[in-house]
Amino acid sequence: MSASEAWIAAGTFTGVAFVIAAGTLIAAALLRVRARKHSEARTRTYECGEEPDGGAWVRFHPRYYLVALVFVIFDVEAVFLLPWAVSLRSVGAVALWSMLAFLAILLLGWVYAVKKGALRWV
Amino acid sequence: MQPLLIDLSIAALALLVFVADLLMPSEEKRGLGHLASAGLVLILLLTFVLDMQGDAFGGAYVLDPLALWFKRVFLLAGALAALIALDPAEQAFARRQGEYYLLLLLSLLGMSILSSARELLLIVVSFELMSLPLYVLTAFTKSSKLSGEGALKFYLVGATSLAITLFGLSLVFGATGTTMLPEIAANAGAIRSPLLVLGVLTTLAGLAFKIGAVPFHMWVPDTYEGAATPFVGFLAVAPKAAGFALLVRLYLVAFAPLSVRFQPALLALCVLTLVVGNVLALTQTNIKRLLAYSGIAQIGYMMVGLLAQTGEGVGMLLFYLAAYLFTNVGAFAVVCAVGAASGSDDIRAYRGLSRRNPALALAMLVFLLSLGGIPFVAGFWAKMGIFIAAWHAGLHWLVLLGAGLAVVGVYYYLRIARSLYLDDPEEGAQPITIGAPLRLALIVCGTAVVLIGIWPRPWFDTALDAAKSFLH
Amino acid sequence: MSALEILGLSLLALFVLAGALGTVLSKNLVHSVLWLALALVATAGIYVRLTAGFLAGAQVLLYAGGVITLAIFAVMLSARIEGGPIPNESAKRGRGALVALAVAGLFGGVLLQADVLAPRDLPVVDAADIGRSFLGEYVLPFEVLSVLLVAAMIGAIVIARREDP
Repeated sequence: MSASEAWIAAGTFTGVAFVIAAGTLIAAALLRVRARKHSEARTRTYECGEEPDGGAWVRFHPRYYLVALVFVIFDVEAVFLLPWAVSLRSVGAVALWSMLAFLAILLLGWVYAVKKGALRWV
Repeated sequence: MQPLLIDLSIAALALLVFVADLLMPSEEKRGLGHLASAGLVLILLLTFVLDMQGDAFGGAYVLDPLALWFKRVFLLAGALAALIALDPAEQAFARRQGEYYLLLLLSLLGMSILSSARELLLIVVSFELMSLPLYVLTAFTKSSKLSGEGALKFYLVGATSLAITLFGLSLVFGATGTTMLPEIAANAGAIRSPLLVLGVLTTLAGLAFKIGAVPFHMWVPDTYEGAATPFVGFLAVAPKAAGFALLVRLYLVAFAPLSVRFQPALLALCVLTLVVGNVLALTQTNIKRLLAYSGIAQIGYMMVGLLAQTGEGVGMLLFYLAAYLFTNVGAFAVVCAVGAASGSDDIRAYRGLSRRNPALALAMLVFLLSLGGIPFVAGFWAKMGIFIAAWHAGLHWLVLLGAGLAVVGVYYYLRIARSLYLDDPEEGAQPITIGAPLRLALIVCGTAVVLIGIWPRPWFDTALDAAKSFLH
Repeated sequence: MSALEILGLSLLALFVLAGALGTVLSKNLVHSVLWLALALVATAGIYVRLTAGFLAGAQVLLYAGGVITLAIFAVMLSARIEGGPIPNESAKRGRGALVALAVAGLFGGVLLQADVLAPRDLPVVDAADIGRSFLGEYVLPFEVLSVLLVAAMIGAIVIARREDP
């Protein structure tokens, strides 16, 4: 694919995504599917058709943050694993050991999180 | 692998503390502090016994006399910091002592690698490894609101300055096409791209934040005031030294061909830092804030050594760092003892200290004299050496300005020194007793300050030697 | 550069700018985070243009995926979230705008002078190239990075846990 063809493809994709998103909004506006101005349903929290229980603005427990944090660390690891996997063959045994050392050190962080109960849910 | 031995030892020590922390019951964590402190002393001795100099990874990592000097400063600062923290850590955060020493060691590892790094990626990663644990350690006293505030300011400024540094370095890479400092040094003179100049100046701004040079200093007093005192002594010395290691490698070697372009900026930073640090220190009533501003002023003196751009200037900078290490860590150790006894960091708590604990007052007097640069303690030779080197480099008016401001400095140091001996203690003040670890740290720092003061010759010689082999 | 490419790049630049402005100007802190996500994804688009496809993927995965999630959690952790959105209290906007314009002017001026805008053929850097460089030339920073990640993880856990005094 040449550069301009790639741009046409990317542009088309983005365009279609926009059309779909904007289309639903426009269709809804045209069909006038909306709650009356001052109805209670308009201001209520949306929960996929369920009756909402309490407000949406609630304080999260810190454990969500801890889990998200550990997730981001291993997300970074995953990003390194892909280039490692595709270049492993051309680099050879050194690559294997380098990555094993990297993973071993990261594993220590995980051991710490588990041992200190940072991932305990209750 | 041999040049890496010191850093590998620090990493091994950190691993040891980590494993011991996970296996130990939470009541016996004090031992980890002993382990960290003794381990660092052992590694320090190792640097004198083994000859490990050389480079690795194609020159990206080097153990030269300069790196060795810095590593010794870091190791000593770390060992003293762990020692001073032994008692306070057990009182303030008994169950998190393991993490405290582990993060201290990891930060130390980052500094140590940074002082050897001659490649931009390694510089950035080790720089972050140094900084990140420092933010956490500043926030370690969770019960104190000031601690959280100080840590947040430190973190926000640190993250911003890292972004600025990274952007600057990316421009340098873009203009030179290499991340190796020796190659940048070889190419920089021939490149006429304004991108390179912009990158060099942007990087300087980012690093100025890190060493707390004016006008990038506003986080320093709040962070020092909020952080636990045993840790501030380390924070005031080791990361600053690491910042200077990087400044020397970047601005005196890699970017040296561009010195006409960045010299004015560096000079402006230096003058501002000297003036603002010394003047604002005059009005402080909290000892930690006073030492923070005095620390900013000391950074200014070190920048004078950098500005000389000669081997002599770098050598005197190294000497200054060593003198500053003992003086400042010692001073904060005294602040730690007085703060623990009187629950206050106000300078009024130092009135009549000589009657509450004569030895402590004597130690504080020695450190204050050294900070002020009074003959004949370590700080005197440090300032003297910097000024002589700058004079030789032709920075005459800067030397005169520095000397004038040093007199201002003497005023606020001696004001405290006077009140140690001549004022009456506050009502109801009890005699102060200090624990064995703190006493040991004070003895080490005090002896070193006096010894360097009486017999500075070998220190000068080694420092000049380390710098000469570096700037050909 | 073809007209189509210029259009695409301008759109991306517009998105980055809109996202950045939305982040600092939005009145609701959660909306600020979402605007930031837009800016980060649009940056990934610029990486695609610079033929750094892997970097673009990493940008979306790490920043739009990981960091934005973390930022949302951080906002929702605050005790002030109870009972409604937290207002974005960026103060001194006038001065901020002035500094931003000055910095933009400086960097823009230098970039224009530096003649980097001339189109040139960029080398395509794929994941394997990146792998080869961090397993070869840059293996030491790569290993130090793992220590940095562990330090970050331990540090964040120490701060975030509530159990310990």
